[in-house]
Amino acid sequence: MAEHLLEVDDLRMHFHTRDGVVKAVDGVTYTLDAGETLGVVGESGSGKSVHALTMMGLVPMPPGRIEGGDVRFKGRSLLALPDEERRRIRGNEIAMIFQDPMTSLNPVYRVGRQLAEPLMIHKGMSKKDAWARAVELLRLVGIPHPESRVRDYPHQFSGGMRQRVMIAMALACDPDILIADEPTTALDVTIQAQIMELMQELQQRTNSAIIMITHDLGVVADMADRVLVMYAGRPVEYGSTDEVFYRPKHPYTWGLMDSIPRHDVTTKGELCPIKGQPPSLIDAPERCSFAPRCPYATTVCLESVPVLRTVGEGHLASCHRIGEEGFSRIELPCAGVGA
Amino acid sequence: MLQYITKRIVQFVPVFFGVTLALFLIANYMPGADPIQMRFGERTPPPEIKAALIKQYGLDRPWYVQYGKYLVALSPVKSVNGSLQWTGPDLGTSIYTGRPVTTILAETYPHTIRLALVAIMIEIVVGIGAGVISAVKQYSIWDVLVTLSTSILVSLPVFWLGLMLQYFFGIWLKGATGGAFYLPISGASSPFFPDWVHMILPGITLASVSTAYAARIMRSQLLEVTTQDYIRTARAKGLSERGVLWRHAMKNALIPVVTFIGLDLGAMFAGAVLTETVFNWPGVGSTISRAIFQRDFPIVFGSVTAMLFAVMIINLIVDVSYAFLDPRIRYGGAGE
Repeated sequence: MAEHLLEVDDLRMHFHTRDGVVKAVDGVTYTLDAGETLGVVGESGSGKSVHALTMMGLVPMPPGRIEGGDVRFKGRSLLALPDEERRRIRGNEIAMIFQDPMTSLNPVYRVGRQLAEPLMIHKGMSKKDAWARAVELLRLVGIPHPESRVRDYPHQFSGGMRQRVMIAMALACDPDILIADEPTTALDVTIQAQIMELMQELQQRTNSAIIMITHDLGVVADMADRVLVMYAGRPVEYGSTDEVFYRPKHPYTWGLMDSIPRHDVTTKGELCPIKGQPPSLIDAPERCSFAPRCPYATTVCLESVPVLRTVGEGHLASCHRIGEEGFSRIELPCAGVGA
Repeated sequence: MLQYITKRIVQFVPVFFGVTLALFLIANYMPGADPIQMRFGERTPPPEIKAALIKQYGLDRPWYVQYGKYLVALSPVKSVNGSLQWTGPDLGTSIYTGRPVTTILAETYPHTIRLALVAIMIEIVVGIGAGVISAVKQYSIWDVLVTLSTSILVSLPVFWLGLMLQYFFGIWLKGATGGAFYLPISGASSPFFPDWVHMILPGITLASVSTAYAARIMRSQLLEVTTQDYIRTARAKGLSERGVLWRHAMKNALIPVVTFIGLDLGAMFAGAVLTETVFNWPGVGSTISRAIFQRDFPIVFGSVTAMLFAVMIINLIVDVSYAFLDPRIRYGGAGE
């Protein structure tokens, strides 16, 4: 087996709280190669962010606890590394940008200083060189007048500009992997497209791999090479973007697709959201966690947790009913909003 | 910035008139207030001498005339022989001792400032230190100790703490060690100790409550700041935990602590009446409390005036130092 840049193998991160065990991430598996983009989609609380924070080593432990699995980066197990070595990977070989650019920059330091920091930590640059590089980075992410802007404070930037700064900071050390945790959720729609374009452009230039965490299927369709759909801490479908979008196999993925507003299909402008709420992850019962909301659920779904199985070329899905005779996506009467 | 400072100084004008006017009204309507009689104690002064003194201090005039005269005397620039000259502010003469109030203040204020600086040092070192330790080692035995002791300290009356310290370190310890080791409990100097030793107990007493508050604010701020997104960013960049704490968390967490300590320094410059009285410290606080009992109004007016200016200057310095800690505050400048 050829070595991948990143191999996530049955990763499990559980939180031990007073109310019980929260299985935030429960068996996530995928691989990632250089230059590739993986889209991780799911609702809030599906564990998509926590899985990324676990890889970065940014989950406070306790209450978090890794209950199993492994994350191998360039063949080395990240979870087994001592803190000091993990710290050297963070922000250097694996960098992360976050959802809210308004709060992700330190308000009391100049942008240049915050950009220079990873360079000084990881590349041993002098303060002067790091600041010079900070100007270059700001130019790279398309901030006008970088020579003067580098001396500004975060509050002097708009939201979109701050996210550009965050991207510049993440790219400072030329990381092999860039994890973007809902990088455009907090931004205006027009700015969202700009930020996405910027990330694609920079990826082509640096050949870094991107893990794009989002609940925007449009973004995934646009950018990702492969897609991981998560529900209640577990992966429910995984495959190439084409496979997952054109031949989705899991009822949850069907539901997600139906709930996207589309202007190319005339269904009297109705949206079909998935009914119900994501389940509580505290002491979740051993069954298909989507079953209570699934219009296709039968008694078999309540008996055990479904496992991922191959349903196509490099395409995995976890549904008990896949392979059952007559099991296919049907045109459901749309309940509509507020039903 | 200059604009902001000017604005603050202009804002001080109504505060000054409000405080001084209230003071004159209280003095005027205070029951049993006969400052001249206080000077003679139990004796009855000859009526003509008393009348002369009343006239000399202008106490026969209505309060608003007295107030006007006080304001004119306060002006540091006065008309002398038809030309304006710098004479310095005149705060009048003490009725009880007959000495100029400015001279009395010049003697007492340095002691107050000395004590305030010692107390602030304790507050900064012990307060911030204890707060940081208890936040970093949250729920540890140190955290419990800090939380417990600060809870006790903030609820102790200052004068009682002072008396207890005096008893323990000045009297009990002296007895227990056969006079070999004890701390001075009164005054600012004596032939038996270097001057700085005299500051230990009053310094601790004055600092106690504020140190406890500073520690609590520091703790809660640091805990609050470490949950912020930019701290996660700092960790994601690969900073060590120490780097995250000292470079990214501290500066943010310190902003409210600096405010508190700054305001507290202002309050201390206005004299620590209780502490100075308990320790017989010759500062402006004990002077003003004595002057109030003696109905020595010129000293009261003069001290309060000096305090007003001291507090204003300290507060202004604190506000300006803010801008250096928090770039989002740019007084009067162009922001976002």
